[in-house]
Amino acid sequence: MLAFWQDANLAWVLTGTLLLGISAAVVGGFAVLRQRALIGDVLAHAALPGIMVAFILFESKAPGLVLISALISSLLAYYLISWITRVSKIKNDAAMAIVLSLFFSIGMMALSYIQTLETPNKSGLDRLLFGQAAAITQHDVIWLSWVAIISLCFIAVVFHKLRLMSFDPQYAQTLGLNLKAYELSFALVLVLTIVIGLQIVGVVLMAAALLIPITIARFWSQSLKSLLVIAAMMSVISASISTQISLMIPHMPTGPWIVLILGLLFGLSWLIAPRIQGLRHV
Amino acid sequence: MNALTTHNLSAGYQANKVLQNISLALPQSQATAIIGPNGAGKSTLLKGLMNLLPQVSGEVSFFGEPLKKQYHNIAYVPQREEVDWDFPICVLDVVLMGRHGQLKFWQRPSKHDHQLALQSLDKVGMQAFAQRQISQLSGGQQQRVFIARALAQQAKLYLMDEPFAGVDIATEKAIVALFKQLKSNQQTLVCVHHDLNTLKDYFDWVIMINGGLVAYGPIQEVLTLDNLNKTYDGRLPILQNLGLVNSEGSN
Amino acid sequence: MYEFWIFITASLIATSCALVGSLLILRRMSMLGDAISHSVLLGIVLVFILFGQTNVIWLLSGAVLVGLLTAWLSEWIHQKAAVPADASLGLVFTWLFALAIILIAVYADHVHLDHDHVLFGEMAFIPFNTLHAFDINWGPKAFWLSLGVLLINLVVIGFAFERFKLSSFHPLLATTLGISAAFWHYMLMSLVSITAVASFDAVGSILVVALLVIPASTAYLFANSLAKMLLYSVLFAQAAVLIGLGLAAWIDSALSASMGVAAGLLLLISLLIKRLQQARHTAHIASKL
Repeated sequence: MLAFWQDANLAWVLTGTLLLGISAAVVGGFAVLRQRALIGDVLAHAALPGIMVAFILFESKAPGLVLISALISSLLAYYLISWITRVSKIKNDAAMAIVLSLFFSIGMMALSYIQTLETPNKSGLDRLLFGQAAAITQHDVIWLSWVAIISLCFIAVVFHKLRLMSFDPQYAQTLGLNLKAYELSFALVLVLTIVIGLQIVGVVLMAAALLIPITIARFWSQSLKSLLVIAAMMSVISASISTQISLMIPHMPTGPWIVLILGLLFGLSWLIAPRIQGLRHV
Repeated sequence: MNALTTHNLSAGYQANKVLQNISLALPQSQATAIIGPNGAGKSTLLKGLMNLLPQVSGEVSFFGEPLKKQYHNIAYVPQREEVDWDFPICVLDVVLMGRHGQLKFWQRPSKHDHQLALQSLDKVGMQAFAQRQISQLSGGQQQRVFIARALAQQAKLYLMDEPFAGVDIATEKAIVALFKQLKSNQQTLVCVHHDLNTLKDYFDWVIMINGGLVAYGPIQEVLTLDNLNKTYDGRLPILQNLGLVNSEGSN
Repeated sequence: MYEFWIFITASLIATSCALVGSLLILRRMSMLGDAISHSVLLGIVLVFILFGQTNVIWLLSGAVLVGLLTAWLSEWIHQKAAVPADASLGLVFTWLFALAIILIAVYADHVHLDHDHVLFGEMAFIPFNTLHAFDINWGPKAFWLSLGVLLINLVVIGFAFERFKLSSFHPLLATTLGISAAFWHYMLMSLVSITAVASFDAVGSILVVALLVIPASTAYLFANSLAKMLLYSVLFAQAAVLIGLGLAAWIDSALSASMGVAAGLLLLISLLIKRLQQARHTAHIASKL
């Protein structure tokens, strides 16, 4: 087993987790600043029914198909949350929990239906639930790189506008900016990152990859640009360590270790950062 | 040409409208205060003008054109409480946001934009704070930063939601001085205002609302006891004692 | 008998969830329900590792401890480290869940739990795991567990109905009246934890969230008092269980997921009905004007 890892595969696994970690940290950073830290949790769960239904319809797990179908169902969830809160008195937190559990139930229903089918190559769909970094191939990494590049470029280009919208959306509207277009494109990038992340850390732990890095970074800096850089660094550290761990211990999942290490980094930063910075008032 | 005209502006759902059928016209180069009791819809009126509410009906035009064509001429100053002051950003970056209406989505603020932002900060006496984190500002300083951000827009019409609420005396003085400067530059101001004591000193015109429009016009003409009673549902007897209004009523 | 046991157990679980969920959504803590339903896994795993078996009392206490830990830790981090409340909640529950998964991987030989079980539950196996005592077959263990948890919920909520009402509606007022809002908060978290762990085995962790939040939200649309909301939510939960069973039989899908979907369908239909009523109401008022 160990020998198998030390081959080229390890390089792919490491590249994959690193790329994902960086883009999740940066994109998730904005989600947290917009006070929607748990939106990633909802959208990750909501991607499943899309993937499952696409498999039932096309009997394929091609990365492109998975990406598009997951994208559609997550975006649907994104807008369903705001529809529910707009047309009824149901509050935002309940709407999120409703959409999360409803979409997940639909996904699981479809998955259990798939398992009764006689279709070949249906195995591996449940891998999305907990992620399996070890199974990353060169093919996956190419997809991952594209998504990471697209999301990072997007954030870099519209950085100022995103910051403005996160800080004061109403004011952004009074400037005549097209808020809906920015909203949609940010949602797209967020969902893209999540869908790719499902393969590595899985549905449940995706939220952690999005929100913990920026939370750690807030101990270390007050400027948004350096916050995002520090968040990406935290992801890199945890991704490299956890890949090493799953290399050393067979059958050890990578995703949970990423989260565990991020959590430790959070605790460590909380203890150390104020002492180093001295000035910071907690 | 009027800076602002509205025709039958209403906001809220049909069963319970917060604002009802407001029709008015404000000339340019005046400072106008919006007054009325709590819940009268003062902030709603400003937000309705800027189309920030889900249910708005009626017509609004700025300088004779609809809002869509006039965004660059209007600067809106929200209430301080509406944003997260722990957001990781410094004062100068907040003021630079005022320039983003003119910038396309890929453009960064230029040197010229930076200069405008610094000048705006200077006008409110906050240039020394340019690199300060916003979480370290006092309430009055936060207000001045928001006003500087509006100034950076280089607009002709300023809509401010309670600029004097909860600010220190230094800030109040700075804002009043700024108002005078704006007026002398032929710019137009519309502010939600709470303090009737300072009304006459700071403003020229007044809009009195209580759900619907009670009266609007130059302060000497419309600030009558009758109108005040209608606006505040007759709950301001203290006004006579303060000598703000003579007890005979009109004029 | 097979279908009967499944139906009755699911229905007991759904009732517990609906009652506790109503209190959760009124306090705007739905995502805390989601968090606890995940982190109780750690409680279950720890009990497995430390005591090697699934003694019900240990299981429930383990779950309550971890549930309370989740609620307390996220609140503590939120206040002490100035982290936004939702971010600290996300941090805590994903971390505890990740720890649980790692422990499962490390102690794979000792823990008879697998990933799928955690997410799906194994409702179809409920009737096979039965309780034997005094040479009599007393029926499925899951049934007795969910009955017990429902009784605890009923007793606590029934006994402290007014307290919950007051501290949900206005925590500050409750405090000024000398009622400890914190105590009732953690009491509710304990109820969520035992409900989650009782449901866990049968329906899996995500469906717990569906049953906690969806029937309660549907009831919230129609009810005008807390008592009515509790009643309606239980009714909607029962309807979801029945429709879910039908759905599962019809397209041969997982029972627990089908119930979640049924609950969601009921909510969406209710939303549309409400919407139509509202439109008619507005039209009515408009015609009067």
